[in-house]
Amino acid sequence: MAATTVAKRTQSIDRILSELMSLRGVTSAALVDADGFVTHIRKDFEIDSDALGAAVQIMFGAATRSAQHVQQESTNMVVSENREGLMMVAPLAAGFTLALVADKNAMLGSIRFEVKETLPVLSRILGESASARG
Amino acid sequence: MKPNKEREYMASDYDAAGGLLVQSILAGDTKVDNRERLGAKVPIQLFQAMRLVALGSAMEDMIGDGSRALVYQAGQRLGNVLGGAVMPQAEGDLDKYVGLIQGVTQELGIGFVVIDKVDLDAGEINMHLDECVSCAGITGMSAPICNFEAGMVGGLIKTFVGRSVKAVETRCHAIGDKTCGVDVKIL
Repeated sequence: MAATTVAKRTQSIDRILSELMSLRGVTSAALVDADGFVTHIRKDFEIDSDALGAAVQIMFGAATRSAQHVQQESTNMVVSENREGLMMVAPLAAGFTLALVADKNAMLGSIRFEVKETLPVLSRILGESASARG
Repeated sequence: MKPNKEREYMASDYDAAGGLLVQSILAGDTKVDNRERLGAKVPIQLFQAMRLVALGSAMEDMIGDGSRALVYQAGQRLGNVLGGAVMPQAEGDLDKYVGLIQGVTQELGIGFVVIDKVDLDAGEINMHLDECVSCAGITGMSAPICNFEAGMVGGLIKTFVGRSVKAVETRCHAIGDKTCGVDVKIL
């Protein structure tokens, strides 16, 4: 893939992640590939991206398997509500997942709405990139 | 509160046991307490059962595609620990570091580590592992299966360069290649 195309794609993804970061309470927004590597991240605090990437894939994988066990088919989103905030993970194209971390000020409904709006856009960018790699 | 305390207790015990294990490996211990009759060695099939069943298909059953990330991270953790243990002796010299790692991986029967290409300016290191412990004797697979070893290589390089890396297994005996190749990209 041409360097300009990669740069353009990265720019688009970074812009989308920045927009998600502007939502109230959101402290981190990341794209994680199928192997658990964080490929793009915007964050307000220091974070071990290797550990985050693996944890996100494990979290999503466990939820997906659980859903299959109870015949609920595919998993569209996983939300973990924690004492100090929440994590939201959603699947994208080409094995990627979107992960959001938010603090206690976050409004779950508004984040969920924005994520649902954003998923097709991100998936299109990632899908195009996967096709270009062949 | 009790379950959390138990979890913390288990984690610290695993860390402590891992530390003892690494010390024993680096000391080259050939005798292990409480193994007077059976000795320190176990059959390769037992390792492969642990690796491909416990840390493979069983994990896949529980967490699906998440198992790839988990196995890679597990290997990376081991690479970090081993790398960290030999780093002081390497004195910042990559050749010396690789030599020490080659000694450890050979002694443990993990395989023969061979460096194919090092281009630190481009952030790329390519290597291969002959006689890889995970896939020796395994054939007919549809994709490389040594994700743990790729993670371990990633952890070793990450420890040396002090930056995040992505290691990918590009060749594997289990899919018909003669050796297991790992390409490392320094991020």
